Amino acid sequence: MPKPVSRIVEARRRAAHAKRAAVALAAAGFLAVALLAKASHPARAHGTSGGQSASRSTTQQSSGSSFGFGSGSVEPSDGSQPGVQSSVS
Amino acid sequence: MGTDVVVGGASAAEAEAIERLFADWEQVFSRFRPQSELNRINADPAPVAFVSRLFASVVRDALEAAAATDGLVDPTLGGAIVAAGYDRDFALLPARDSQPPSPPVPGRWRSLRLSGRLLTRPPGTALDLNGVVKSLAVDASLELLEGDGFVAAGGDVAAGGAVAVGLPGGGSLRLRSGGLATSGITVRHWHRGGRLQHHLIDPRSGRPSTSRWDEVTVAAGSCLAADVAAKAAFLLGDDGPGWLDGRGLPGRFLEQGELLANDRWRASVEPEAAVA
Repeated sequence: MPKPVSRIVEARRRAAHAKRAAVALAAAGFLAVALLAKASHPARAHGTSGGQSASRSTTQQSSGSSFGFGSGSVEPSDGSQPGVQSSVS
Repeated sequence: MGTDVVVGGASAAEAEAIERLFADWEQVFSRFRPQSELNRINADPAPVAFVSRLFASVVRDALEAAAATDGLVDPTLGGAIVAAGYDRDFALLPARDSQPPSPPVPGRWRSLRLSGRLLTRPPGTALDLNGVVKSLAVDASLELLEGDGFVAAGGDVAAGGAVAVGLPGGGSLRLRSGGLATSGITVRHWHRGGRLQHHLIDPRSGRPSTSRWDEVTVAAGSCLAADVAAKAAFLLGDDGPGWLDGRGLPGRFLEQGELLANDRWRASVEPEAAVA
């Protein structure tokens, strides 16, 4: 006849199982977040539906700017008919 | 985007690609398409959203524009523009509405975080990326042209190679490269509760700007840069001309029918007037 297992031993066994499950779940969650972050890193993003590429800093926050106004090259009209009409937007 | 697109110097295939680009971007960024990604993100109550690469790229540009203008061009004014009554396609908007405007919604671009394609924003934040989307689409379209040419959408122009551009309100100039954009309230305005409303929201007040200007035209290194600078200069009112000069940008301002140019504009577009 097998020796009956005490309720305390049984409770400890259940607690150990729960602990292992929690650790496994946490590890899986960490792995999923890591994979998601890796997949979404701009360095891995190639092309968009609109032909834009995303290859700049990983995190964009409220400070700092790499925005450049540049300097458009404009000069006086040479009197020719405009090739395109700009308007108000 | 509710606008005509004009292309010069494009092959048939390039023109088709540009048409497709605008259609694709419209699907993503329209405020008036219930299924657009913009509206899905705005309706999502979760604080973090996983967005498409295109969406992330445009948000990134919008945040950079906000930083470069000290928040004057703010991507979080979706609530403010609706509060002003611009809640449907402009063609469907009544010219006069007796209903008073809703309470103002100031901008809060500094509360946005973009990490890769994970966008974090406070609850209730409504994005409106139209401050940059159209000009970005113009710039992206220009990149599709193999040779010299230009792309214009809703009046904003980007050129690679010289083109004569007619200006709103009269006059013209030659744009050799970069972009030209005009922001103003002469076309898009309406009345709500007896008060003039328009789409150029001042993020500091959360209401339509009370700037002295009716229109501001700016030339810059790209259509996006010109568009962002024009909006900022408009919202800055008296400080607009100097703000543009400080960045080496030519700007022309319209106030109640009178045209005023900053130093840079006079030097590059009206050199004879500048000497005189």
